[in-house]
Amino acid sequence: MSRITRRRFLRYSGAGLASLALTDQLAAALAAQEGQVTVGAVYPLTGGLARIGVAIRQGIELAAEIVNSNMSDLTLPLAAGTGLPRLGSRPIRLVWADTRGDPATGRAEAERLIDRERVVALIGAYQSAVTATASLAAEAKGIPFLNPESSSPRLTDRGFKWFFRTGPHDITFTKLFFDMMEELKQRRGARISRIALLSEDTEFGATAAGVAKGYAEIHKYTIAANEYYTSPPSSLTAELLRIRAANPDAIIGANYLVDAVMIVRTLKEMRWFPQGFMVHAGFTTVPDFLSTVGRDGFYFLPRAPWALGMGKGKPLVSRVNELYKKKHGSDMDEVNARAFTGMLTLADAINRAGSTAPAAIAGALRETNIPGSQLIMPWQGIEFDNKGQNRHAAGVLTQILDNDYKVVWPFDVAESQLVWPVPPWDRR
Amino acid sequence: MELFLQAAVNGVVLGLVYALIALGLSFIWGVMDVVNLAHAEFLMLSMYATYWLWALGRIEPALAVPIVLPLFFVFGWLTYRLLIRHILRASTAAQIFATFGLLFVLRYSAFAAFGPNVYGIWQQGLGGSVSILGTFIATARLVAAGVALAAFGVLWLFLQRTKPGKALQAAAQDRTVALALGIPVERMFALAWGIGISSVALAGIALSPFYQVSPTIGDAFLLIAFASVVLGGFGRVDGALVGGLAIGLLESILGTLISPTFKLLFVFGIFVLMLLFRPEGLLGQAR
Amino acid sequence: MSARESILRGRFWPIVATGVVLLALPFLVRDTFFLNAMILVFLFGAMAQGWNLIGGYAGQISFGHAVFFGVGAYAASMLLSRLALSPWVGAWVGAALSATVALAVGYPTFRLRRHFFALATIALGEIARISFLNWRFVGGAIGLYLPLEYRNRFGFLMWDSKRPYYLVALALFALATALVAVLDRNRVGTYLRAINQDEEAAEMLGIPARRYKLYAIALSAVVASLCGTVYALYVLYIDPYNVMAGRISLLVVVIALIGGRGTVWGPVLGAVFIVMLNEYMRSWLGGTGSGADFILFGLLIVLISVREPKGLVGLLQRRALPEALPIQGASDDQLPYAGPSRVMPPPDTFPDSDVLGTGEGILLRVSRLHKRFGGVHAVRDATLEVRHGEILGLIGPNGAGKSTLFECITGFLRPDAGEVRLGTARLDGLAPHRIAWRGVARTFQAMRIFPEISAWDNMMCAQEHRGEGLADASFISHLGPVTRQSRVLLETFGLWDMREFPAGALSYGQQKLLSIAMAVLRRPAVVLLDEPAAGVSPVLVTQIARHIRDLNASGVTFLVIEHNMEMIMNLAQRIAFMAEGQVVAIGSPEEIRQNESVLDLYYGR
Repeated sequence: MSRITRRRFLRYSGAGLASLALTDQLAAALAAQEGQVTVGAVYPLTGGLARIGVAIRQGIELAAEIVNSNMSDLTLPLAAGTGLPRLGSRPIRLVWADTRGDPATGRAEAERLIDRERVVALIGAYQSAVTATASLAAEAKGIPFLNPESSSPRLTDRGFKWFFRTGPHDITFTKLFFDMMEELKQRRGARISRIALLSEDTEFGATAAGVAKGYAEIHKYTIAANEYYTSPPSSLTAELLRIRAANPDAIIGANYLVDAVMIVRTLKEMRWFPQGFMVHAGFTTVPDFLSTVGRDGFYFLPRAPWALGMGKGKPLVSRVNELYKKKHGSDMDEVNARAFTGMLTLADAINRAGSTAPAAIAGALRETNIPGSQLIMPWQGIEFDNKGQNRHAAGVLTQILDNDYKVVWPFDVAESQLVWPVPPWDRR
Repeated sequence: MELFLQAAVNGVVLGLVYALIALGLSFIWGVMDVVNLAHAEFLMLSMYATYWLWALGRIEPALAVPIVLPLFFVFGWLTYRLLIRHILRASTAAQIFATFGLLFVLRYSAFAAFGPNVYGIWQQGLGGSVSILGTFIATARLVAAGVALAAFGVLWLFLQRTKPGKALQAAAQDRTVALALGIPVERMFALAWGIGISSVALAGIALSPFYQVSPTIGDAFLLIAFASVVLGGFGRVDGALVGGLAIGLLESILGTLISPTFKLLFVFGIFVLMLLFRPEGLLGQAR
Repeated sequence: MSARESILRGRFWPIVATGVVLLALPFLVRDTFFLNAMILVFLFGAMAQGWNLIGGYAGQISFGHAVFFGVGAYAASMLLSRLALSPWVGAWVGAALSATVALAVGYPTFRLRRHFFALATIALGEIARISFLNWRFVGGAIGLYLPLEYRNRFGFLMWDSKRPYYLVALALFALATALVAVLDRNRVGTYLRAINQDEEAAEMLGIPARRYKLYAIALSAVVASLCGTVYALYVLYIDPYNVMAGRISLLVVVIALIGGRGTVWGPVLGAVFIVMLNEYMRSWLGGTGSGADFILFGLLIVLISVREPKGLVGLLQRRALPEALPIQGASDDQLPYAGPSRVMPPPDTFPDSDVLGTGEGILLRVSRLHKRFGGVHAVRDATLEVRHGEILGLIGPNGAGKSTLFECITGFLRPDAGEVRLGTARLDGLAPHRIAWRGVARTFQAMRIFPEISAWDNMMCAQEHRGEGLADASFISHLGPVTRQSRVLLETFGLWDMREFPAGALSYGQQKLLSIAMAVLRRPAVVLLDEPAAGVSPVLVTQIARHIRDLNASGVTFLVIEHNMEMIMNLAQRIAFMAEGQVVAIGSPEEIRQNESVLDLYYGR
């Protein structure tokens, strides 16, 4: 290499590195804006789950808007008055980072928000694997991390000091399925003994399958088949053929939206459907599903920590949904309803802390006690146990009937009758 | 037993489509000894084209054929003229990297244009299924298999009965002699690319009713295409047919009877074994 | 050599300066985003350096390097989780495993054609990923969460702060680059390049090609594995999608390609350029920018493959050729003839006396050799004896089987029947490089030198390889006797002034001379020359004949295929005539010239 070009190259790169170091200082200065409380949000805004990420974003931003503006007619925390009262009415400012659905990126982005944007707390990240690494960054740096939607039980098993989860996890959800099946057997004499599992093959699916197997053992069900696939799948024919051959009475699925369409398509081709198909949702309550598959998507049983039908008994739910619908043209779903609730919980804690010091916020989170009447969720309230899990987090089971998601279980809060067994294809 | 039969029927149907994908690859490889790593990206793009025609223009895939097919013929021709032509005489490494770079360009252009989302056509029309030998086949899949078979027939006729077809075969067998005989080899190569890419495009159209498309589907299909070509013997139309059917059957039967998660593993394993022990394929002669 | 040293000195201070800056950075800059980007630059750059050894230097393009990365990540993580074994140790366990996998993969697949090899690596990468995805023992799809209780404890490679990771990754990158730099300068680098350009010719010179390729891929795997370990300890969660996916394999290839494969600084430049661009574009453009940078990379790769194979390094570097001398040999009359000096040292300098047997007598014996290709009987019951110390000419019409005979003697073809013996040792069935080690050398009808390396490096490839250790070839640059002997030969053949030129830049005649010089460098017992006078001007033909005679006078035996009757009749002591696969006649030039069957078959009387 001739000397001249080498030196020039080094000089330029040296200058480049130095300027990058300077922007570090600049960014910090800019971010420390007086008058706003900055909260960071890490979600998959691109990638296969982008649609969900965007829906979550809309939910969280609605929550922030409710806090920041005066909506005294809503019985939600901080809806009355503008901003955070105990912090001089300072508004909440959200800063968004894209995790791309990747754990390493999620962590890097979380760190970036903490270091560069100086956020006082983080909210995220939908996928369990990404939440795991992103919250690790928060834990290391002493920043509270609020997780509204990830379902892996392991996240709270870690015993982190700065991690809080408002939503339910897989154990709670799976319990719903099995409790329902037990009640069906008792009340209606249903014959359910063989269960098949169909799960996507990342942490979400694998954990859900593991929990299901555990419950099956307790309740003495046989796991007839346990199939994994990589999402998104080009084809699920082999998997579903094997499941059908194993003759299960019911299927429990852990799948994403894109997989759901393929599942329906394949089942229809096979002209087969089990007595019931329960799903760890993430798909069936997102409106896209029904608009794509139409009638063929009926009768699935998604577990839902939230359903629009709840509005019949709880007007608050419908009110909030109206606000959302006016802005975005579609209803809320169970994912962004959780995100919405999580954001309000976080804002409530920051307010009670009366300070932007992360330790104070974490302390306030630990003392959270929001009653169920102030939530759009069907929970009794929000109260964190010593592992950071909301002990009142629960869900309901919905079923897709008449082009809608109807709450069907527990029976005492059901709005429609649970259809079990599902009618075969030719009688629909 | 019933499961086996079902898997076998699925395998044949799938295999015919695989054969069609492999056809283009094998053809190009045979005619000019170029390994097209970007082959499956053309499949992906044709599926997108078919999807958007359906989503925006309400054009059924069957009617998309006269639009998409000529489009991709030109696409293949252009790829040859603009890129491949320059690396024909280059080292193997240069060829590998040129098509590798092309893969990147095509795939990430799709990312940029369509996003990472997955799209699928959902038809109520061809959504039914047909019963054969006590097993069921989605009508759409049967149609796809039929299309693939027809395409093979047409191409075979073209190669055997028409003048440009025979010239292509000659160019495939010996470039220099063909040149000496006055066959315009340059044009033959461009034609080969046109045919190769339009056949993979046809496979894409055929798959659209029952496969979903995203920018990364090329990954799985590329290896399947190569496995088919190597299994059957490259450079031969019948090799692509045999190879594709074999891979389709293997994947379907092994996947359904033993384990779906390992179905690709079996295919790739066989692929590697073929490379090691019989790279000329089942039908080929050792080069 | 002195030219190289001075270039190195010119590089020394800039390298030190960069090193100081890089070391200081994590103490000056606290922006974790930047530090994170740099850590990724170092890790993937190091891995690209590893890839560079096998994909750049040796030319075996692998699209499956993620396997080694993943094995390193998983091994160290599992050992830490299950056995509380420090990753400083676990890293080397992983490296050993990866090296084993590399050897197991390379051994059967290296003989495949280059693009088949590339395809095989793609398939193997996917097989590995799917296997890990379904392997419950290592966590399968759930992945592995590394135990966090080791954070900030001494000796566990796990910290809260980014700074120590930065330093570890930087050290790894520096070591990997240093490794490549050392190998590049020494014989291993030259040999790998030769193998890349023409593996068969390298084998013929006695370079055990597969051994060097296995060496390269094992080293490559070790480096990738270490990178995987550090990555796992950094991210603290691994699953097959993140450490064994094709996109990691592809990223590494892209880095090496765009930076410039087969060069020391290529992966360095590539890593900085690509990883930095990727990280910052994501951060600036947010979601919409996803993938746009890869379109750019794709276009660059296409351009590089068509134009400049050395990537960014090639762009920044103008090849420093010594000042251009008038191309000697353009008109070959001007080629200096250094006279009949005693070019070759006496036989016992390069000992191989057991092969030579007794002083006089038959040196090379071909008995009843048969070789068929399908229906064609190229060599049919051929018998030939080459006497020790003679020049035996081999003539015959085209298609007589002469070159096929050479291929059988030198091990490129396996005869269907018959034997080949050198002295008492049997040659048929041995690998070409082993035959070379026994003392057989050859030139090829179509010129087969290594065009992209210098004439001097070509000579270095031609030295005695028998008993040459990998460690020696890696770390010791040149052996005294070899350099002396090469100089003598180059001067004799009038090529000394051209020694730094790439061999492909020499004229045809000069290349011919170079190939002969290469054939005789290691003092072989017998040299097979395949049409040395073909395509060369009459003046040069005389020169070549003179050189052969001089070498013969020093004790080298020659077997020469020729069509130039005048030349071979004057040069050889005996002539063998071959037609239709058989040696029909053998005798002195006079006898052959008058032999009836020869006249029939050759001149078609």
